[in-house]
Amino acid sequence: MQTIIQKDRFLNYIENTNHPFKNLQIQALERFNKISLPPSYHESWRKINLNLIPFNSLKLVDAELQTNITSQYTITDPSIIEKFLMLNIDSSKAESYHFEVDYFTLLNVALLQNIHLIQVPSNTKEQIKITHKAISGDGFFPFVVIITKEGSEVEILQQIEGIEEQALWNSTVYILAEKNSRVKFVSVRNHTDYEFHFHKIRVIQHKDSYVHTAIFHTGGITGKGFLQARLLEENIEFRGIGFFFGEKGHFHNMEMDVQHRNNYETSSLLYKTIVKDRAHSVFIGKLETPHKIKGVNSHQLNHNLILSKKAKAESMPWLIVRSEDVSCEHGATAGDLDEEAIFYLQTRGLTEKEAKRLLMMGFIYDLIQETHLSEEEKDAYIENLSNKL
Amino acid sequence: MNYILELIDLHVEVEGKEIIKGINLQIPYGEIHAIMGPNGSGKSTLSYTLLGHPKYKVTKGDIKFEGESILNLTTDERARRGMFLSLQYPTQIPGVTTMNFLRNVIKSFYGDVPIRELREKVNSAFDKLQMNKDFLARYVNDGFSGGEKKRHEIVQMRLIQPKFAILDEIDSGLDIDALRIIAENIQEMKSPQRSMILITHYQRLLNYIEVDKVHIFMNGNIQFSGGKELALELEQKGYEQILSTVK
Repeated sequence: MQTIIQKDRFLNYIENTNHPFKNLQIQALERFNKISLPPSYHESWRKINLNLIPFNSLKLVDAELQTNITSQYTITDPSIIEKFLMLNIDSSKAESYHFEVDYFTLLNVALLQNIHLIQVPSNTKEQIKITHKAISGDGFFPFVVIITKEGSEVEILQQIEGIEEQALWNSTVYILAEKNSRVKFVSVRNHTDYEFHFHKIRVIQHKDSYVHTAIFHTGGITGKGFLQARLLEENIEFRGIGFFFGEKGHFHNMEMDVQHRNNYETSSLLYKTIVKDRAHSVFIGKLETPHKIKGVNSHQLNHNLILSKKAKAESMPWLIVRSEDVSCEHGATAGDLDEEAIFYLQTRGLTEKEAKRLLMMGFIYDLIQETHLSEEEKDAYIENLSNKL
Repeated sequence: MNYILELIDLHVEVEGKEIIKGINLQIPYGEIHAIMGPNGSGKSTLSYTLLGHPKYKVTKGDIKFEGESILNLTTDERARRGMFLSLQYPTQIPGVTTMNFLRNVIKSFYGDVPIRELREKVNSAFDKLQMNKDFLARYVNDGFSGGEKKRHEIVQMRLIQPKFAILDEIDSGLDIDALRIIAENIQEMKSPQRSMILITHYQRLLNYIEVDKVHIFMNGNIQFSGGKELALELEQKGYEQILSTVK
């Protein structure tokens, strides 16, 4: 099937912009026009109906996306930025670390409104806040790269605020953790009932590094999120956690994908969902260990609270283990709230609604506590989510 | 006489099986009644029924609390009217810290209480039960020992100050010191405005608590009632002998 978005529709727009990387954008568009939407037989895309995205009625360009970044280490060196854009449009580059160049990666580069690159120097501590707020229009394509140099410690909070109109989000975040650096990353995405969304977080880790990523996602009519981690050298630790709350007809497909590439690495994934009404969640947990590596410890867990008969949560673990000296585990649960706990809380004067809300907040409490968010930020998130529950 | 609780020909079914078979019971204000009986006789069913657990269906009769039928009230409405149930096996609530839980409990009875006042109330209740305040940061009943769970139930009773409490085997799984501390707290809460039902297997609890009546519960009904001395006699002779004497 030929791609629905045709080259001519965007070429003039890109050529007339003052964007410093418009040649790369045009290259991305060229490649984009040669590929199709991901096919439904592809395991990553099997559970999502991409035909629901109304490409023909979306303008996608001329949108206003407000991005604020608080960091003293933002850099504008075109050669470094180009390198990361190239990673997203040319999979033959050695530095691509085998991240797939697909339809949405190319679309992201072709139509990106802005790209931000932050490079935290060696042995430095930094706290970074990134907010993307949709102001107007129907296509939002942010791209952020964070490089943490040797020995640095970085805490990052990314917030995405959607728009109350039909729109498409397509974002990329690269985290490149160099030797002995520590990164804690939180992404809070609040999408409206009208938005389609495709988000990628790509993590590349070097020796002795530690990366913790947390994704808290609500809303969106249809979307897919990727968390892809490539653990390249020895003695690396990666932790990926996530949460999706869906109601009405929200659909979210989260794919967490960890590839171990060396000895003595540890990774763990924990993903939780609460779905009600007709909401539908799909979790794909991929763990891969190649031949001839040893001392790898890797596990994943997925817990789902399903609060109505028509809501749905699916769990799909993919473990590809080619070495013998490794430990890999997975587990998944699905169920409703504990009726005895609801009764217990009601005997203490809480209404059924209050009891259920407290139990739901308890369900995600450990995830929130694991993050580096301040107590005020945690309270604000809980308050916001609590109103939706 | 004014009764805080009246059970009138109460019949209760669980999953289609009748467990409670026509109880009649009146508890005046200010009195503590003990209910004793063998396992499976329906004692815990009675306690769940009083608080309106959805699995326990009243098929006949009535429950009156302060003169009004409460059969149409939800569990939380009964609680806010002044009824309290300490469960035999208090439920664990992972992810909800004890402090957050107690804050919500107090809020449901007294509205928003300033954080300082809340802390003082909670600390005071913990002190009364000689309970370590480290538990406030732990999830509700999660990893608590049997004794800690029971102390925590009485902490809640102290904070709520109910008019009527049903304490279902509050003495089970307790060591000697914990039994004394819990019993002293219960005795201390006795007042002319507050009544209680103690469901227990053992007379030892009654060494600390002044009860007004003891009821022997078997086969889904009260078979015999008497004074405090009945508990001692029961422990010496057993249920069958006592009841055969009565018959």
